[in-house]
Amino acid sequence: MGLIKGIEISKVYESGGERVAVLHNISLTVEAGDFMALMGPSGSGKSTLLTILGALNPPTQGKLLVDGIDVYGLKQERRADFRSHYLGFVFQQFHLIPYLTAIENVMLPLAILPYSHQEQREKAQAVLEKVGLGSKLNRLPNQLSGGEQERVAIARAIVNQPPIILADEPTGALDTATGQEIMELFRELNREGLTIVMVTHNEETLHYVNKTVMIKDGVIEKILVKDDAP
Amino acid sequence: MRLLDVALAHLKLRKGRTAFLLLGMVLCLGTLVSFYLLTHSLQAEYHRQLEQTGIRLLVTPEGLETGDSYLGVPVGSPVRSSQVLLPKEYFQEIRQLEMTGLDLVSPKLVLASEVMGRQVLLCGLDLQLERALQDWWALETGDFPKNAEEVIVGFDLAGSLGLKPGDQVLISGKTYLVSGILLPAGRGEDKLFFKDWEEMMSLTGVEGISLMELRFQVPAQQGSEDLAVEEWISSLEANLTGVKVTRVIDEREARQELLMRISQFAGYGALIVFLLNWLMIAVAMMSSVKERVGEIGILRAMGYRQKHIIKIIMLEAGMITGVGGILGFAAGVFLGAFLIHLLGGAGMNWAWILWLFLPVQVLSWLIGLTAAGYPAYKAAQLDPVPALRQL
Ligand SMILES: Nc1ncnc2c1ncn2[C@@H]1O[C@H](COP(=O)(O)OP(=O)(O)OP(=O)(O)O)[C@@H](O)[C@H]1O
Ligand SMILES: [Mg+2]
Repeated sequence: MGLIKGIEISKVYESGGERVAVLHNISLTVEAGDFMALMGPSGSGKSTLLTILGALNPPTQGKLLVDGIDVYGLKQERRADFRSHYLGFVFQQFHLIPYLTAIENVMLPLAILPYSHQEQREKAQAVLEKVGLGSKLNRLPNQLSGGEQERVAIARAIVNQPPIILADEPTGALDTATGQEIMELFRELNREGLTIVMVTHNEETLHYVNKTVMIKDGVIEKILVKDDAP
Repeated sequence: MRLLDVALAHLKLRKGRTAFLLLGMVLCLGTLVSFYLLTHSLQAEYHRQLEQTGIRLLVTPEGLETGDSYLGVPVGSPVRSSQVLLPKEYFQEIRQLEMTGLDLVSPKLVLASEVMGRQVLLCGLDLQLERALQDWWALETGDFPKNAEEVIVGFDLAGSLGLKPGDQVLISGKTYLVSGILLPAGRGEDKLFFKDWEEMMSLTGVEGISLMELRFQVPAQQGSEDLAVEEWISSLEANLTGVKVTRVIDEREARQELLMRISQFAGYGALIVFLLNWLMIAVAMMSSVKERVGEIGILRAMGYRQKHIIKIIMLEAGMITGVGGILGFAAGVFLGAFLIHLLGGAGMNWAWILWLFLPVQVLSWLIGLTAAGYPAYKAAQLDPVPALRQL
């Protein structure tokens, strides 16, 4: 049945009168509980596919069903609500708001939901403790290491308990050891039931996933499935 | 964590910019409020003075050549036989016009005559009326005339003729008693003889009026003086043929009026400051949106609606203009009080200042709303995908 179903998705960017076809007729199913990697050369359309799966980027053609919802059939503002409830994003450059502390950054997704300040704090603190930053709640992003910032970004992505995490090269800016720690964290979250789709360049991270989708020139080249994900 | 906290945190991050924008608000509203208060107070003071002195109009014959003048107003050349006079009936007719606010009419007849071998000017008037009109009229020595056989003499003229109260003086073949000498006024009347108008007409056989001074009560509605004056003048000129009507403004009134106009004008200057301030906030908010494109992308990815983005930007501008509105109002009241004290306006009316508070706050919120409206709209319209790529 598939938690995320992309059906014959194509994407054409128009920039300055020029049409760039980035994705061609891609169909892809992500099952609940999957930890999926999207791999491929630079410019192959991985990030584009991820933002389409993330309800941010309407495809030129095709359909996206998430939990049975026709995502791009929703109106703009309803689509924002959908993201708020179903998705957490983690990006390569962490994307923390520089003038908010770690805990405030994590509280951001809750600020538009009907939680009291107290509830927001408790939830944010709980996830920060979970990612191992319980002692650095009130640091500003520039007072944290890269790995720590990435953990804050992950905490922020999961604070509203969405079923899906979308990550674009989450270890791309980290050294190998730190990258491994982050991958361990993702694996732990995945084992707790989160579905994760991650764009990666790093072969080593494939060790953690159960499915790898190879993309080249906007089409799926092959899909590798591991039955016994470690 | 509320959206307000996000806006507040950003304002704190950009302390310098926040302070700068706040200062702009304080300057803008400060000048606007202070000059508004000043104008209002000067107007009140002007009105209060007019209530005391009344508004005075001068009725003279039309088409006078420059010649002798009374109180600086030309009355023709009394020496010539062709002297232009108004018919003496106008004195009665004016009062029959039943003009609103008219409370005094004082006719004067100015004639040249030879007294003690000197060419002098005689001014015939109704002393009772004239004293009511010129309440500052006072005598240096002696008394005001008790009857038409007595005259008073201007200070300079008395000096040059060596006259003092009790002296006899021969005018046009009739002997008069000098009852008093006027205090020097530094003006035309220092060189005149003053005697009864009716008596002077029967003495000289010249009948008429050189000029008439009219006093009106100031209309209750502040600021409507000019309009009332226009109406009085046109009504007089329409009903009495051959007259010219001008308003008499003494120095104190003139100064007060000038101040009032300057203050009003400064108020318009404050409007320019106001526009600049508005522009400053609009530009600051626009650049704030531009430098936060990535941040807005993150929030949108997180599920923030367009209206949430609008709210954050609006709250940011709103906090500046809201706080600026209160500080600016306070600054305006203090500056206004100082200027009023300096320039001698009527005292501050605190009830009125309280009344002014709300409109000024509404105004400052409006500044924020309109200046941040477009940047906020732009921010909400940002496509999150390219916004995120910017990071
Ligand atoms: N808004 C856009 N307008 C025009 N072209 C775009 C736009 N966004 C992306 N592209 C183009 O689409 C292609 C795919 O971009 P995408 O970012 O999806 O690639 P990617 O696989 O994520 O690459 P990388 O590994 O370098 O991140 C690229 O050639 C890119 O230049
Ligand atoms: Mg990419």
